[in-house]
Amino acid sequence: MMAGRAHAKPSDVTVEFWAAADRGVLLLQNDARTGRCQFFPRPVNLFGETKSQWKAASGLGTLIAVTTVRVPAPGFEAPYLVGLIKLAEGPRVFARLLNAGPHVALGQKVRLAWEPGGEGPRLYAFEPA
Amino acid sequence: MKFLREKGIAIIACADTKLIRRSGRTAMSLAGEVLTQVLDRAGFGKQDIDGLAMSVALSEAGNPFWTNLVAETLGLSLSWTQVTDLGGASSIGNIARAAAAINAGLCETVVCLAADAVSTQDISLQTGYRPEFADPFGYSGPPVVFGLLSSAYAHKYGQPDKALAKLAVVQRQGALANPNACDALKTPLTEADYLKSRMIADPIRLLDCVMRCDGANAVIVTTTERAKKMGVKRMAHPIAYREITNFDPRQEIDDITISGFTVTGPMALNDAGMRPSDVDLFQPYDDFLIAILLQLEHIGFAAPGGGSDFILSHDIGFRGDFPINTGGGQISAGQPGLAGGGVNLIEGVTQLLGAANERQVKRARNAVVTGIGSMQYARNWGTSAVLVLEAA
Repeated sequence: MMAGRAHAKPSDVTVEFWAAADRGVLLLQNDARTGRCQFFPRPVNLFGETKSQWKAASGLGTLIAVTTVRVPAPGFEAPYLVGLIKLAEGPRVFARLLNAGPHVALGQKVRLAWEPGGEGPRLYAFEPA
Repeated sequence: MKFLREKGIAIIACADTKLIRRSGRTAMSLAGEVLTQVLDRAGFGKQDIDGLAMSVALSEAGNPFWTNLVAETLGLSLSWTQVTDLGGASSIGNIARAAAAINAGLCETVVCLAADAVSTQDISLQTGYRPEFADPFGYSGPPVVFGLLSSAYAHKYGQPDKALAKLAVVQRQGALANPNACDALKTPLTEADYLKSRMIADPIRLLDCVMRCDGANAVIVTTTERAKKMGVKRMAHPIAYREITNFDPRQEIDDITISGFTVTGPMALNDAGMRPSDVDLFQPYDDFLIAILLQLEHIGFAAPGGGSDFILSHDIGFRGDFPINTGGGQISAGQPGLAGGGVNLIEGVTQLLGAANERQVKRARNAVVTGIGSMQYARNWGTSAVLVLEAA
């Protein structure tokens, strides 16, 4: 990973999430009553007033939006692709899209991938399935 | 807000400073300039003001005592203050908050003031999911959100390049007729210029985006009764206002281009007793051109996917049949940071007061002004606000 990139700083809400990421697991927060999941991690359950439970994502999803970033974030080298992925479990994730060209089509099935290790917690990404 | 529909509240004066790129000034200096100007136009002194509603300034974002500092520095003594953090929706949000405060008896005459010197200094700090779940993944700013949104829109309806090019060109014509538009943007533009401008986050081009600058704007809001007693002849009544923050909180709508305007647009028009075809002037918040097209669809001027045809089939200039952002909008006049929502608002009020000079719209009986606030995670924007103004 390139120097100068922002890296995630775990909070009390996300410490388990990032520990799982370091093991190659993407955690979602699941509401036991409705079976629905939320992402990003929050201190509350969006689907009820009981506490949500961590649940590992299958890592499968569909690309529903994509852009080629040409004015990069600090430490990134443009151009690069970022997208919104609708996970099989329901919630949407903003992540880099790896191993894909700029003409990747929306509706493309994607799977979880991981950025090369660097400073800070390991970061999830997606690639064409 | 029934008291709005009954026209009990009036905007009696408005003012804005020239928009300047990297002015080297402070938000306070700009606020002082615009306060002097708006008081002069209203024929008021500082002692006539008992309420102050402000927007957060990116250039002053670290200061947790903003209205107190402004009141002390600019010599206002107040029975009600408010600082609103709805980003670009703050300016119209403050009209409604001022109206509610006046109606509740907390104050009688409010200055709604927004000032930001963001292109000189930005000391804002994003917290929460942004540094943890967006920045490490390559988020480099709002063009990324709008690039994603635009890709989803284009996938469904096709990329509306022709309509966006027309918006860019026509708004630029408005800016050329607006003495307060930023000089850095005051060059004529062709559709080819728009189409050739470089990509920032595909399909968002440079000329789809606002340019940040420094500036301030203000309006004075009071009761219609007081305005009449003072002999004010031309005023603009806020007759309806609707706001939603965090539309679709549980991601029940898969289409990320659907915004809170699908709720607040129809509700505000209904409150005002108006149909979309009754609207004389549309002053939509325009941080990106595609936001105008989406609002046309969501508020109900055009059917879903019909925004492009709507733009192409109307004359949208200040001499046209459906004038949009007649002063250039923020896209062509400049975005003075979080005072940006005031650019669209001031243009709407100026037109209704008949003070727009060479760009004056002939039929300006009412205006719809909107505000967009804050970007959301994997969706669109946080606040969608709609204000309906009627001339009197």
